[in-house]
Amino acid sequence: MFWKPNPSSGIPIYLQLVDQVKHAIETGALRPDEQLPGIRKVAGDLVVNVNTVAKAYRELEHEGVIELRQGFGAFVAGNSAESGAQRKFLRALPAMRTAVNRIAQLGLDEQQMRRLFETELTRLRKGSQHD
Amino acid sequence: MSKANQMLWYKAWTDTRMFFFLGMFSLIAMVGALNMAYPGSPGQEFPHGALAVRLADVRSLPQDARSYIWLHWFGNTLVIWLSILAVALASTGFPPPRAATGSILHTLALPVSRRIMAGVRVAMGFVELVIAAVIPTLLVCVAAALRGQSYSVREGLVQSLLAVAGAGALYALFVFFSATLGEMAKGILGCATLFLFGLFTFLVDGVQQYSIFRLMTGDMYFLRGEIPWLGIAGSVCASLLLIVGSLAIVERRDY
Amino acid sequence: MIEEPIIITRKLRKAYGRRVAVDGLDLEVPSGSICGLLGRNGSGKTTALKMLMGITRPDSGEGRVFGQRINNNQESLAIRARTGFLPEDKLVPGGMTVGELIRFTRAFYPLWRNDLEEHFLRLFHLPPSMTGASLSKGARCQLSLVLALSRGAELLVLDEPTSGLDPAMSEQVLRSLVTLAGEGQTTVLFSSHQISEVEQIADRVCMISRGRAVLSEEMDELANTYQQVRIVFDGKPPVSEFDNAREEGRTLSMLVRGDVEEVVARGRAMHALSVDVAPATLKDIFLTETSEAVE
Repeated sequence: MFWKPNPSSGIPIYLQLVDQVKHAIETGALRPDEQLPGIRKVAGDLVVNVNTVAKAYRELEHEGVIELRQGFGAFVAGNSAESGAQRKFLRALPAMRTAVNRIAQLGLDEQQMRRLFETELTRLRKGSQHD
Repeated sequence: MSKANQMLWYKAWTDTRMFFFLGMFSLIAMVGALNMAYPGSPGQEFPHGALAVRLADVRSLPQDARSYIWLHWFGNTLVIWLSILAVALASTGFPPPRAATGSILHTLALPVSRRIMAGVRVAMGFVELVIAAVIPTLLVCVAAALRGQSYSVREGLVQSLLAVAGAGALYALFVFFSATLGEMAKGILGCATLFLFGLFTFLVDGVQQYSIFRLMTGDMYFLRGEIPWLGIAGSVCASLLLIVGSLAIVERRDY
Repeated sequence: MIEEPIIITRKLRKAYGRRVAVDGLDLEVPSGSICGLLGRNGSGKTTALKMLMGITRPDSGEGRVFGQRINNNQESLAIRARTGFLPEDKLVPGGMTVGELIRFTRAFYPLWRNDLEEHFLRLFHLPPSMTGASLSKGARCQLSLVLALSRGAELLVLDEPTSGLDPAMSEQVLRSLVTLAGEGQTTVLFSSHQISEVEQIADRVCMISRGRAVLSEEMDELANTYQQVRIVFDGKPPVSEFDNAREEGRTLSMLVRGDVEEVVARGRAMHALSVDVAPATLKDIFLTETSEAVE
């Protein structure tokens, strides 16, 4: 169900997995209350470290996307949280669209836009206050 | 000749030159030995074939199967071939220290002490040496009986064990070389040592009796029934020292 | 509960004549982790691994595996009883057949995993009656792997485990390592020339350069520690103001370890036209930290 993450892309593998799970939920491959594959199974299938998968699942739980039920496994969060994730996505869409349109008007190409985005993401991650 | 063909000849040379040099050195040394062993004054005896056996002793032998077997089997064939076997057995399985190949690394990574590993290897080689000496000798006795001749089995056994005592010392020496030297050094030193023994055997009268080859031919036992206890003791002691030393060295070596 | 690392070395040193192979190596491998060891050829990786296994003896320094000293004969034996080793040269004793070699090795490890042995034999299609000497290179590598991985060992020390294997087999081997470590009973220390492999399965990375550890970190921490920074100036760039900076035209590129804001701030203070920060890949880090250019 998941694509093999790209270890050399610069994006930590666990984040790639987080994105994939979210994407799976959006496309309906995973439904609310449906059980996710076990951590060890995912690790074995994708050939990545078990701890990396565990970290991804913890992050997803932290964001409320999934629930870790002790002794049973990982489950997609029930209706409210799932549509909550979807709602967040839909709400962010117009802001992104506006930004992309404006930057495109400045004459930047796709690659430049991506680099810009990357820079800002890193800044955000670092939590610093640059201009 | 084209450059390419020249290179082929050159490679054939580099592939074979080590053995060639060793062989040439051996043969040239033999020339020296041959020449020096020829008696200075006319009428004197000269060696005849069986190693380290004096001609006078040979002349006094009766023309029977027993003498024949002693001269040719114990005095010649067994001595030479058992020595070669001893050297061969000692030289494989003990890899040179620096250029360690993967196969030894697999064994070294096992949870066994090196002393035990190497000790078992040394013991096996020695057992094989004993068997290689005793069984064919027994066959010689059997074969003689088939021709209506006889060579006492008891004597045969004693002689073969004497041969082993000598070959064992050679074995121990080459085990020691294997544990301490690289391939090239081992080849050179080994050959040099064998020649020292060999040359002494041919040349120096006084030392002749201490030659290890003489121990192996067991002439005292054959001629007079005297077991050369001193020779055996010396050989066994030297062997033990060399083996113990080899095991200690292998234990400490870096691979 | 913090456990003692399964492998600890302090100032391990080994010289061959005048050539110093390992020069004060400090290494730590936590229990249960998969630790990738990266280093250029001749960096001392193989010598370090051999010292852990008691195959080579350190000149000085100390090392402990499972708390046992690596330079003590008895304790080293105890280490080897619990460790599966894969040497760099995947040669196997030539006299025995595949089947005999497996039986031979199995005899030394009471915790031998028959299931793993079967799994790998099926995976690799190794002919049980071929002698070690007549195996192809790929088959030899595969056999070495079977022999190392089936021991039921608590620690696997593997020198380039996927060398000699095709990509599909490599992936299978990596999967086995992931599964073994995931079961919780096994720690893996492996060296590799394939940086992507280390990125893929290791949770800890150690880089060796000229016999010394130049990096030893959790994989997740690397993204926080290392960044690529590119600063464009309006004119000749002040290359001397920045460590390890490469100059290309009006651009300075550098790998920054640690405080990247400081570098960014400095760039802006020098009136840079633009400052780009991007995540550093393990390859970037490797090439920079192990470069042998004179500083």
